[in-house]
Amino acid sequence: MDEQQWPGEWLRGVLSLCVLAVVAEGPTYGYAIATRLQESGLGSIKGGTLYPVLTRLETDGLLTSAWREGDGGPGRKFVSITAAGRDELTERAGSWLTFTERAISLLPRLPDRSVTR
Amino acid sequence: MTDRPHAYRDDLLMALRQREVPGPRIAEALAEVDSHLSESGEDPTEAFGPPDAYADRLCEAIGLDPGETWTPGDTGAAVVYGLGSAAGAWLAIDGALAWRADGTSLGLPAWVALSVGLVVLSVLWVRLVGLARSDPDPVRDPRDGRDMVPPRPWWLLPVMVAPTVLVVAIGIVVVALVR
Repeated sequence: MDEQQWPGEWLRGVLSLCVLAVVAEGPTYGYAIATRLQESGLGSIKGGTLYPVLTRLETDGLLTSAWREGDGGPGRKFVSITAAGRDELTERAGSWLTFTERAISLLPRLPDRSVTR
Repeated sequence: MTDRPHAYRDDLLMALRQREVPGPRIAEALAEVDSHLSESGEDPTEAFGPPDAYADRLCEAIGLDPGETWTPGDTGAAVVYGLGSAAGAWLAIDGALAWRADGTSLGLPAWVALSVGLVVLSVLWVRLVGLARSDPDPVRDPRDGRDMVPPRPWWLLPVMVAPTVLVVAIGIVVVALVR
């Protein structure tokens, strides 16, 4: 996966949804979420951006967290999705898909690639 | 300035305190920084941005107004300490001098003025010493319960008490000159 940096405004729009989606895969922690987002091609998400998103999601009751001992390290804060978080993920994912499909419908067709999902 | 994790953590703690973020929330933020940096090996400022800017983002995330806060209540408390110390010192000293001269102080019996002055000074001093020694909103590490606030410097208490001592000293001089 190429290490492309996307415009900040694009990430701001979708980061919270993507974080929620990553946490929905199973309990995980900040650094692992950043790594997962980077591997999926969203670019390098800094801690200063990621943790406020996690904090907001937890404040809104969409995630819960618990500290667990690390292997000789300072411990990891594992986050899990709540039932409300799953509902929110389903709803927001649907809205986002509709939104991006409408945006895509406005874009010019590029000759050397097809825009597919 | 904030290249080392410890220095960054202390600066972030101060920035969050200034924004009146609750202690347990500050503790979570500091522990998150620790945990993240130990895994990523990044420079703290590179990973989280300057402490003030990061504190603002965290404030927004928990629904607090970003930016440092100095409330009218803080100003009121400072005025109460200043005027209270001055008034208490004046009453105590004037009352004591009036008592020796069998007179009155501000129209009050000397012993009343002296007592009121001493009570006012005592209440303010006890409160100041309490502020210097205890933490009304502790920042306890969510991982092991340890206090995350760096030890208070030895000079904090003298510095907090010094203005009151100064006011009392000036009061003695002024009262002695006036009478």
